[in-house]
Amino acid sequence: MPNIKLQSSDGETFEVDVEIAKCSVTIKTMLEDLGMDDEEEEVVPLPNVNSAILRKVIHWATYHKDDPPPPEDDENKEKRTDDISSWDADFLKVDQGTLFELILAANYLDIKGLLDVTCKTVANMIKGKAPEEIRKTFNIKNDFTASEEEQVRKENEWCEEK
Amino acid sequence: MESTYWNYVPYPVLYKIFQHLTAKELLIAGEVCKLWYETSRDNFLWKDLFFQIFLVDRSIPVLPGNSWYEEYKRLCYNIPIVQTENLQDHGDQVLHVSFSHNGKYFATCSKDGYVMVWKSKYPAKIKYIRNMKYFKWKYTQYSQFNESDTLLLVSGVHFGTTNSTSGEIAVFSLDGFELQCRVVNKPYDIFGTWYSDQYLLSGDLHWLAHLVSSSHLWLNKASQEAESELVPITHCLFRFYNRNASSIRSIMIANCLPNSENVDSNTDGNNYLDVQEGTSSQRGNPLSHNDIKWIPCQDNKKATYNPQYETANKEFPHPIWYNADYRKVETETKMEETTNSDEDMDVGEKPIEESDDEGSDTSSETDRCVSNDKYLIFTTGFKTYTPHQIGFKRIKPFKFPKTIDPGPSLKERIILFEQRKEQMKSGSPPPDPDWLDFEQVADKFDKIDHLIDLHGHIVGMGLSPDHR
Repeated sequence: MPNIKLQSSDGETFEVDVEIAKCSVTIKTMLEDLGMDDEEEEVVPLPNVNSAILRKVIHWATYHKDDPPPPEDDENKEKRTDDISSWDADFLKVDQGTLFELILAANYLDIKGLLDVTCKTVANMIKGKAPEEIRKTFNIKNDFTASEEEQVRKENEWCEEK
Repeated sequence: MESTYWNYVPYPVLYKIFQHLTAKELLIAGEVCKLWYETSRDNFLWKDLFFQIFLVDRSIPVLPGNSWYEEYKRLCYNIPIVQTENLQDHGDQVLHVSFSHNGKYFATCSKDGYVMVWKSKYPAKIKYIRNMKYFKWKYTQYSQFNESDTLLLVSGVHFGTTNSTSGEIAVFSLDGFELQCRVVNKPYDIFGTWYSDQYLLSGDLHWLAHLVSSSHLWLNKASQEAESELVPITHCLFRFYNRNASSIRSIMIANCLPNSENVDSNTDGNNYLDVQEGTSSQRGNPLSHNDIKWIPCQDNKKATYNPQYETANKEFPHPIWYNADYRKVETETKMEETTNSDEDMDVGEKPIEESDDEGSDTSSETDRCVSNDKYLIFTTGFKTYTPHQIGFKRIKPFKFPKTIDPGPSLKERIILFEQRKEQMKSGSPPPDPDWLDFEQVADKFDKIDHLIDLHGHIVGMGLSPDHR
C-alpha cells in the first residue's frame, strides 16, 4: 500500500496509508482533483490541524479503516446518541479543548464518522442540563442581556410541560 | 481560564450537534448564548424534528410564511393526534364507539352484528366479542359503560321489515361478559342509557291513533335475578305524548346539580312552551306540580347555595351553576312516598337486601346513585317525524316498590269482564278517549319540563363528562 505524507499546521509530517487518509473527504477530493500519482512523494499541507490533533485523527482513522462507509443520513431515522462504541467513547475521553479541536478537524477534513461521534458526545453533554449548567460545562459566556434571556425563556414556555 | 471557544463554534458543527437533541433540549440549548439561540431556531432542525414526531407525509410543505418551528409548536398545541392503529376486525361499518370511564376499555358496535370490547392500551386488543345476531339482532348500534365500569349496555336493532322500529338492549358484565339482562327497546333509536350504576332506561312505543303515539320510558334493573316474581325489576318512569309520528329518541341522563333550592313561586310553568298548554296535573311517576317552581339562584348564588349538599354529594366537588335561561323553566316535581329523609332511604334498602344475597355493596351504591335528582334529556319533536327538539325532564329520587301489586284476582277479573259484556249489550260501551285531542288525554301523560327547539334535524347529542 502506498503511503502519503500529511503535514500539520506546526510543521510535523505524518506518513499514512493513502486508503486511511482517504476517509477524509477533503484529502480524497484533493488527491483526485490534483491527480496525484501514487508514485510521487508529495506532502499534503493541513494548515488547520495541529500535530496533536492530527495524531489523534490518524489514530482514529487507522482503527476505523475497515469500517463500512457511513450510511447516508436518513432523514426519517431518529438520531440516536446512545450508540457510541466503547472504543470511541474511550478515545473521546479527552479534555474540552481537544474534543472541540477534534470536532473542528473532523469538520474541516470532512470525516463523517468522526464528526458524528464527536457531535454525539457533545450532544450527550448538553442533554438533561439547564442552560446555566451547559454554560458551565462548556465554559460558554452568557452574552444575553437579562431582558433578552427572559424573552427567550418566555418564548420557550410552550415546551415546558411536554 | 480556558478560552470561550464554544461561543464560536462554526454553524455547521453546532447544527450537527443540535441534530441529536430533542425539541425540549434544543430550546434549552437556545437559552445558552446568542449563537446557540440562532442555531436552535434553524428551520431544517425543526423540519427534522417535526417529521420525527408527527407522522406527516414529507411531501406536504409547511404553510407559506410559516417556519417549521412554528408548525411544530402549532401541532403540539392544537392537534396532538396521531393515528396509532387501524383496527379492522369488524366486518361492516362501525356505528358506535364508547370508552369506559377509567379509559381502560372501549366498546365498538357495528352493522356486522358484533359487539366488541377492547383493551385500549396500545396495541388495542379484543377482550370480549359477542355476535348479537344470535339474539336475532340485525346490528349493534350503541353501547355505554355504567358508572363503575362493571357493566356494559349494548343497544341494537332487531331483524324485521324495513319499517320495523323494534330494538333491544342487552347488558353484559365486564367480568366475563356474562349476559345480565335483555330489555325491549322501541323505537331502537331511543338507544337506552344508564340511569344509575345498576339501573338503565329503555323505551317503548304504543300507537294510540293515526300519527299519535305514546312513548313509555322504563327503568330496568340490570341484574334481573329476582327471587320472587313479585319483586319488580322494571318500572314505568314516564309516559310522553307524541304527535305527528314523532317519538322520543336518543335519551341521556344528566346529574342534577345539588346547588338548587326549591321555592314556591306564583309564576306558573304554562307560559314557557306551547306543549305545556293548559295542563294542571300530570300522571305518572313522579307527579308534577305546576304550582311549585324551582327558582334559579342566579345572582346571589353563594347565599342560596346549600353547603350541606356539597359534602353529601361527592360526585360534585365543585359547585356548578346553570345559566339563567336553563333554570328558568325548571319545575319542581314531587312524589308522595319519596322524601329525602334518611329514614326513607333505610326502608328503600331493605327490599333489595332481601332479594339480593350478594351483599349490601351494590344496594348501598344503588341507593346513593338514585338518591340524587337527575335530568332526562332526549330528542323529540311535534311538527314532524324528524327530531327537532331537545326535551328535559327532571327525575326525582325513586325507589322500586317492595312488591308488585298482583292486580285483581281471577275472580275479580271475571266480574269485570262480565260487567263489560253487560255494557256492550246495552249498547253503550265506554267511549275510547279521543287520542288526537291532547287536551282531553293530557292527564294520562307526563309533561316535558323544558323543550329547546333547534328548528332542524338533530343528528346527535353529547354530554360533558362533568354534566355541566
